[in-house]
Amino acid sequence: MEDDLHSFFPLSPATLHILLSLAGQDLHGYGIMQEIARQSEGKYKLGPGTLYDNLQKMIQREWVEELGRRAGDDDPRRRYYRLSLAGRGVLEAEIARLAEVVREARSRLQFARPSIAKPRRA
Amino acid sequence: MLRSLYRCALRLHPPAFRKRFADEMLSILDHTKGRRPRYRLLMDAVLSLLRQWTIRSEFWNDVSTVPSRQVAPDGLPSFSSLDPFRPRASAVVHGVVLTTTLFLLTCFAIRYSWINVLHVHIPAFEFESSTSIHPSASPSELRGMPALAPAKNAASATSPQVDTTSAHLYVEPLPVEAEDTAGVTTRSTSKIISSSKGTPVTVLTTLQIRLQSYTGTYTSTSPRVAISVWIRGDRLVVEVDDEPARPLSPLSSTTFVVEGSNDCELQFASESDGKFHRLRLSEPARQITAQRQ
Repeated sequence: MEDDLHSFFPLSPATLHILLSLAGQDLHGYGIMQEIARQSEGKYKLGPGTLYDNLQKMIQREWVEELGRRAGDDDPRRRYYRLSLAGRGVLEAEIARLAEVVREARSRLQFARPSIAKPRRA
Repeated sequence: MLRSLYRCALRLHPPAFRKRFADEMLSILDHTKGRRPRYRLLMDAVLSLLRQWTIRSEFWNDVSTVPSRQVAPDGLPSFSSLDPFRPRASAVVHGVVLTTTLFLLTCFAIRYSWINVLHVHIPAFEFESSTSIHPSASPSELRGMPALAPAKNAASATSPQVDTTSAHLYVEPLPVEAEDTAGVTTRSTSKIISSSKGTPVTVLTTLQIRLQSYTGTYTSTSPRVAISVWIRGDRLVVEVDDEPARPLSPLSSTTFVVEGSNDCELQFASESDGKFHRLRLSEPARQITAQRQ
């Protein structure tokens, strides 16, 4: 299982943001788009085509569960989605991987000294 | 216009994707404000269209993305349709064979049911062409004539008639118009009778007649005449006013000759409810039209 999951890493930005947006609460597609825009402070905007293409894959991989429509919603066409346990595991694994990358990057940046090129004498 | 283009782009998506996500994508377009964002969504739909048809072939016929069940807000499962379900070809074949077998068994069993519906005969007018029936046959004999196959009729015509139908299954014969009856009238033999003047008259000896439908009293206002027709023994008899009753001999199902008269004929018409309602008495000197009382 662990090996299978590692075949999906690193996650694409769209997949990562969708999983992140669903980590807090169940959302419909438009809500996911708004949540991603909020998380990225408007720097990353996901279109519906990309969103549902990724949701299609994640539902098939059982990372995301579909909850269906909810009574009382503004738009009855909306369907809600929930992060599954498998999806949460994938997200945690990806966050851990990213944390390792960040830690490694910080350590390298901390000890790295910029080398000043000396002029070659003739 | 933009929404129509967007819907067109959605309709061109693979069926599985379209059924699953098209409504939601259209919902997002409807909630998006501004011209430029909406155009961006249209471009996104076009790119999605290309993506789905080029690199997402594994989802073209995938039904796993179609929700198998919907959960209501209170947690209770709601009804779901079997739309994406397709039975195996072998299951369809087995179903067809089973259904056909059951149908045939049912048809076979009906023949042996207690009602025996398929063997109910309606005795009216089912006369065999070669059977000779005397025109003076009684109504009970005419009603009780069973419908038999031609081969059996020859034997049954000479033997006493047996009423094979149950009393509660008896169907009152419906009247038939004279023109239609003429087409089905069977005549095996004919005999010549003579009127009082000696004029030869051809009388049919085999007719589809129902004596009861003729009987009754018919009256005419001009001239004021009462004509009574009734059954005496096995024959029809007519009595005009106080004249002596005379027997009738059928020429057809609606026309009769008054025996012993001067070429007098009775013609019945307007048959309904199993009864004739009008007759015309034709004598050499006059014609009388009378209505049933």
